[in-house]
Amino acid sequence: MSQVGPLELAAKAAFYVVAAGTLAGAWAAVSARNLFRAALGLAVALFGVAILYLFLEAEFLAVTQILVYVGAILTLLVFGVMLTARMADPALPRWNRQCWAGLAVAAALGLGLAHLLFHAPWPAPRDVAAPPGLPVLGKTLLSTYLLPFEVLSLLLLGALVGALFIAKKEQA
Amino acid sequence: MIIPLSHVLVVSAGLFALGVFGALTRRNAIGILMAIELILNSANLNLIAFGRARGDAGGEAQVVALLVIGIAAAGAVVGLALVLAIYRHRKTISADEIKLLKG
Amino acid sequence: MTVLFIPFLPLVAFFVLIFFGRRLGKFAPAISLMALLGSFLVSLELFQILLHPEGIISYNPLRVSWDWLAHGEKPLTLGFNFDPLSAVMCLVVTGIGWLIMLYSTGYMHGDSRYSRFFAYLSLFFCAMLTLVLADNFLLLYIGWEGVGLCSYLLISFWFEKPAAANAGKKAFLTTRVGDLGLFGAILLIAKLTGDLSFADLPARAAMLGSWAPVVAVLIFWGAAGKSAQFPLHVWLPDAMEGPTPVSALIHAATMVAAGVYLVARTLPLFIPSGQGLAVVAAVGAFTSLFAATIACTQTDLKRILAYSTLSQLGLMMLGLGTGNSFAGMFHLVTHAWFKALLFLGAGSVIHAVHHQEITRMGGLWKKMPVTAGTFVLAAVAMAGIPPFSGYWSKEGLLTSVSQSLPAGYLAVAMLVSFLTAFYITRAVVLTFFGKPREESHAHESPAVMTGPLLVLAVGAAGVGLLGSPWMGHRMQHFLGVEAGHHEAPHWLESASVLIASAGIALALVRYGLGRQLLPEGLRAGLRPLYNLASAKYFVDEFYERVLLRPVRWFSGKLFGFDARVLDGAVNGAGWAGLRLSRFKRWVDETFVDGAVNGLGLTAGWAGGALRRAQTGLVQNYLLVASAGALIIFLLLR
Repeated sequence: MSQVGPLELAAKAAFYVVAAGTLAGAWAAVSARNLFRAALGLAVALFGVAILYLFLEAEFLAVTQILVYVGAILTLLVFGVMLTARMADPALPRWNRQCWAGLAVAAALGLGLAHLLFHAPWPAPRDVAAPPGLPVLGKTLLSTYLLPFEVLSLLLLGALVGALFIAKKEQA
Repeated sequence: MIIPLSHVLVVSAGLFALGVFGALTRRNAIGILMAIELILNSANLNLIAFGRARGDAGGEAQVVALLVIGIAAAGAVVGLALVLAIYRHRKTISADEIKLLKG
Repeated sequence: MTVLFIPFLPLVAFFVLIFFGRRLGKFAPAISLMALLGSFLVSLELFQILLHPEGIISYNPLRVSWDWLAHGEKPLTLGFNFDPLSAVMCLVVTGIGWLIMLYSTGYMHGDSRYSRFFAYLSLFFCAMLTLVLADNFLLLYIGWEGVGLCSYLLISFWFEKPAAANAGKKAFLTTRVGDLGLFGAILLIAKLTGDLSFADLPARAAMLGSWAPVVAVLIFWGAAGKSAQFPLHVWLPDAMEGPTPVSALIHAATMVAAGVYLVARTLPLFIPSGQGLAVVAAVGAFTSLFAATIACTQTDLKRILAYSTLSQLGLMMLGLGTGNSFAGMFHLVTHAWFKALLFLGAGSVIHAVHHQEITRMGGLWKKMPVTAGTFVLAAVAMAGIPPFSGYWSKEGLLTSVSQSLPAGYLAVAMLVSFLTAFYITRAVVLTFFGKPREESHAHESPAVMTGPLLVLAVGAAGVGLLGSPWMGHRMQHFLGVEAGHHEAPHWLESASVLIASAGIALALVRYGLGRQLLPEGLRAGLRPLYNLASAKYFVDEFYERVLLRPVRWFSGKLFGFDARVLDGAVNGAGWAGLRLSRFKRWVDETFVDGAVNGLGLTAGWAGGALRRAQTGLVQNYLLVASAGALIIFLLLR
């Protein structure tokens, strides 16, 4: 990284902006009293992560992230929010009783990690000629990681069946 | 890569911390699930960042991240199903009040 | 070996009667009678052997000896030796003893401790026979103590009577004082001669050197205790509290004779120093006169006989004091016969009238002819009228005294003879003759009691002849006394008979006819002396004031010390132990139990505290897990 061109500078700035946005969305997700707003915040954060993936030259993953996370999981969460009503009740407190302890632990973890990460002697990043394309990914997925892949299928099946079973209405 | 690795990792760490905070302090069960999704995302971000930094030739980082997303999905599904079931019983999804396994 | 039967047959009888006496009941005496008869027969058999020593086979039945304790060069031995002196004693003890035992089966009939009486008698015979058969000082001392013990047991046989119990105590303690002397002598002999046996006494006497008089006096002190010589005589009259057969056996015929036997046996130790013999003679003479005067004033039949015994023992000691053992021993033998007879006769009378005061008796000869007859015979024998036994022995004694001692002793002896005749006649007359002073339902005693009286009468009459010229002085030869001393001067023979007759006559006049002998004025003048004699010269009172009271005071002080200091210490230790254990209990409860309870409480508290971690809230668990992860993370950084 010798010279910093204007394009690069813009790219860098964009990165930091996206990062900030992600974190802001995340903060909204964990702190909003209105759950719907929390869900939206989560959406922002998830989107932000997807864009970060792009910055990191993992295009396929970015797309998958949006498709699955935002498209499916977030939708699911919103369903859940809607179904269980009482979205916003000013009388109820937002946090539970261990908010301060939780804050302490989380802050400690975060700060500690940050400190570590900043001062760790990272080796110089290795540039690859071409970042792995889709064919390479497909091949890896279905050869080296075949077993986890299949197990994941089973897992999803199981989750599906289980969720159905748990959530079905009881026969009166 | 123009962005220093550590900066990316710091973002990931921040997501992680926020996710932990939310998991520990949110009263609403669905809120907790959201926070958990954040944590998983931070792990994924970490994976990809490292993969990029090490010149991930086979795309293994992405593959693993994919699998993680799948698992996250399964977890979210089951979790939500549980929440619904509990809500039907107790009419509440406040984690504070769901203390006893009985009843 | 055979000689062992003599002392040990009665010992067997003792053990049998102690354990099984109650069950045997009426037949208990049979055991002891058979045992003692066995001893008598063995004595007789060994006596035969002594007379005709040619037939002795390989082993010697007459003596046996074992080594007992190792001590210095020579071990201490225990041994029994049947020599002529012991032979005489054995025959007297077992013979007369058997007759007395037979008599007491009748006398003690119906007593609640019937069998125990015969057990004690058997034990006594064992001890006495051990004493006379011993071949050394140590075994003799063992027997000595044994007879002392049995004397105590038998005197206080009716211990429910306080007088009897005290008499037993008095006898034991007084003879104990004497025993100390004997023991001291034994120690000196052991130290100076290195040998405690009776062998070679004349030679060993020389080894005593300047200690010879001391040894002699110490031996005599022991003999004085047992034979009741002044000043250790005080126990004998009181010992009359015991049953009459006991008085007859122990205090007339046998035990009191032990002292005489001891001096006779150890006479060679007395001879080198003139002082030893002088002491023996002087004390003997004094005692005999002293006791004779008291006997004239007593009204209790048994007391009269007791003081008579004292007096006769004094005469025996006087005889030994001449250096001639035969003089004393001969009188011992004859005295045993007639004194036993007198006591048994007295017992017969007491059995019939149930009291002992001669002033309340009288005219009993009509109702108890056998008793009266034998009693009179014994009295005559004691007075010294020939040809009865007492005459011969007394004559031998007087002869010896006239030959070896200053004239004063002879005068005293003659005076005693006179008094003896006087007081015994007085007793006879007041008891058996004249008009009865009281109504009594007296009757003659049963045959088992009168039988022995008759046998003893024969002995009392005739045994003196064995030492008389009429039988060639058989006894003297048997006992090895030199010839030449036997013949009594004629004037002495006549004088002694005269004196005895005078005594009898005067008593008959005074008490038989009731006429006073002395003019009024003289009587009044002698009254103080009479009172003095009647009160036994206040010897007991003197002892009480001078010895007993300080001792009692001292023992009271010791008792106080014991009760306060020693018992206090013991109690204090106990009390301290109690306090200590209370303290220990407090410590135990507070600290130990506290610790244990504390552990329990702590566990409970900890459990209660930890329980609160189980909130049931997932987020709590998650928080803790995260914190843990954080910590690990921090540690690994």
